[in-house]
Amino acid sequence: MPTAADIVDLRRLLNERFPQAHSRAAASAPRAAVPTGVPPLDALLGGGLPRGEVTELVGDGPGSGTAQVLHALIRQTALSGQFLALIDGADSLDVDPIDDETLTRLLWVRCPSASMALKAVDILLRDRNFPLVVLDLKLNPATELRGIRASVWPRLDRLREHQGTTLLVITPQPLVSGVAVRVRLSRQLDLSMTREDAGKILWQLHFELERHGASQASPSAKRVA
Amino acid sequence: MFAVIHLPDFSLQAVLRHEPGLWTQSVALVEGGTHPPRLCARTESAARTGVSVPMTPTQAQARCPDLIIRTRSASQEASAMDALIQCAYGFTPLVEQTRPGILTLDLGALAELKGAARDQFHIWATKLASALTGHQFRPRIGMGPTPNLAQHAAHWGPPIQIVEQPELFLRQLPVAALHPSSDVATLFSKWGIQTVGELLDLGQADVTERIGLEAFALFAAASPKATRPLRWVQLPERFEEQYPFDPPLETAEQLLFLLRRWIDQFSQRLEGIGLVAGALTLRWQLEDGTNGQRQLPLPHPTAQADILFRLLQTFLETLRTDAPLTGVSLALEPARPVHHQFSLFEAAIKDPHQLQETLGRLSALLGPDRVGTPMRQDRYHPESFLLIPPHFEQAPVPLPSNGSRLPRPLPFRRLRPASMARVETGPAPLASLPEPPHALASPSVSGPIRFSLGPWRQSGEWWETGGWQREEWDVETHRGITCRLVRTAEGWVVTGILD
Repeated sequence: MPTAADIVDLRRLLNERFPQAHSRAAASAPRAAVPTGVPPLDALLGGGLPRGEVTELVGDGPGSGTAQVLHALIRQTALSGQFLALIDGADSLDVDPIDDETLTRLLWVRCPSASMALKAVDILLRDRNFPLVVLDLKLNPATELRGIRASVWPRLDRLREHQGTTLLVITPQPLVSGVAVRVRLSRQLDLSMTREDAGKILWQLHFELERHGASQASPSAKRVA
Repeated sequence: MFAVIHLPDFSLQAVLRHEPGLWTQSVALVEGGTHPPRLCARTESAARTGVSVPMTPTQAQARCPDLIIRTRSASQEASAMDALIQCAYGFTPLVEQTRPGILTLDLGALAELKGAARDQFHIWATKLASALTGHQFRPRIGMGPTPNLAQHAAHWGPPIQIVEQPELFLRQLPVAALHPSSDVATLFSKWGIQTVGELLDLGQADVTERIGLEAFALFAAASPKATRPLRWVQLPERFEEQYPFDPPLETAEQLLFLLRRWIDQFSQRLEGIGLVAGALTLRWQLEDGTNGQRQLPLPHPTAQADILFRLLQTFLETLRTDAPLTGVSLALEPARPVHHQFSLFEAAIKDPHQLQETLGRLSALLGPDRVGTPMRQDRYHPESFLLIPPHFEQAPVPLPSNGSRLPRPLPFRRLRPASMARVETGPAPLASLPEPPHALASPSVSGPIRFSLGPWRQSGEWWETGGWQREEWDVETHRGITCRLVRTAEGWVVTGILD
């Protein structure tokens, strides 16, 4: 009858003899992800937003497509029977294009400023009912964003870690320090697209991965169209 | 078997149940509508100092300088009666509201008391008294084979009394228990008749010969077998308490203490009748004459006192008033408990009560109109929605992903409020077409316009006085910013930016 110590020794021996097999198994282990409903973004991130982590989506200027991503995420969350809390830093969500069923699975927190939005996200991250929380600071003025202290993000990260919540922060410029994943969207929407189907637009968005977890040896820049 | 709950000095109990500490002090209750005002009840401590009914407050304070005076309140009496009936309903649904402060309960249908011994009746009555004491009542409970006997038992003797030998019990009662008229009571006194037994010994025929027809009523009231049908009362689903502050209240501690007691009592009453709270409404009156109120809906109805109180406490943490409080009332909207069977893959809210508290905190931070689930209004005007408390457990089951389409048209980022704009229009390509925007100046977007699409015209509610018309243009500035311009009767505004 093998003992636990024997099994541990055997595993160690196998690791030493076949290190490649071991590293391949670890690399191929599926990482839990929250699908966003944006095929290029899901492909870039290996299935979606890393579950239980902070992701920053940086949209460079107007027309970058962050609102399209946000609406797709709201829709996708409802499709998967989940709930989403949106802290809207500038009260800019366009409700009209969202269907009624999807709206019933959305908690919308309309904030007048970035500072209030941060207070609201602090409250929501202490609640363990929402697996996905989105903090949208895209339209907040730069003066407000500059006023956010750097210590805010580690504190929110600790709260998120404690509750296991997935947090997506949408910003106009890199803002979140120590973020696990940062994806950049540059300007790509124009007037000719305003009457197109939103689903087609999502396929045309170009994402650039700036940072992807601590396991990444060096900062990488990877583009997916 | 019948039971009677009697609250002596009901009007005083209705007032002092909010200040139970005053029962040990000299307190008198004033009838408000009389001139001059007269006392209608007083505590035992006040009675010992010589205060009696119906003195005027001045006479009473001459005898007892420390006398605390409260005013009789019809609304507080109604609330107390509701609480009394709801509490009794937790024991039996066959309840008669005999008089204010007196309930008669039919125990014949209670399986637990069928063929019960005296001890079991006493245990039951003790539980009932304990429940009533929890609502700050001072009850007397009588039980007997007829409503009449039970009522006599509740009025006379120890606080809990069970009549086992009706004839003997009746004979020992004072003759005043039969409520003779004052003339007849004086006559009985002159005859030396003190108890019902002494009256019965005289014989009905002889007494009738001397005092007339009133003797029939007195002998009927003294009958151990006389019974009557009871008029069942409907369960009142009203949960409301109010309290005037004298002197006005300036800090929240005393208010929270009072609210906590009300919440505890509401919770017990709800549990007794199998209901839960759907919403709380807090109203307050200020010394400067202004009033305020706030409804606090509960997305997940509950009867748990801690959760209900946290909801109130969270709101009160942010409430600032311009003047001290002179009165407060709390109303609870009862609801049926909601039970929901989830499907296998449907996500449920893990902790609905935590969600309630979170929503309360967010509402306190941002205002109630800024937190919730958007619900589209039944009108054609863009941006017509309300924020309602989320009901995630009643949200439609997850939508099938097959064949679903993403929303169209493309979502914009809305500017709220819409940004006022100065717009120059250029020449129309055809004379019959409207002139398109040519340049734009607004706090959010400015510059020459290089492309424009439109107009898309909308109108609605023209059949009413508040009819509206608007003309939408999607434009792209020379800097490549795409925004939505709307022309209304008031002028041009930028309502959104494509992002």
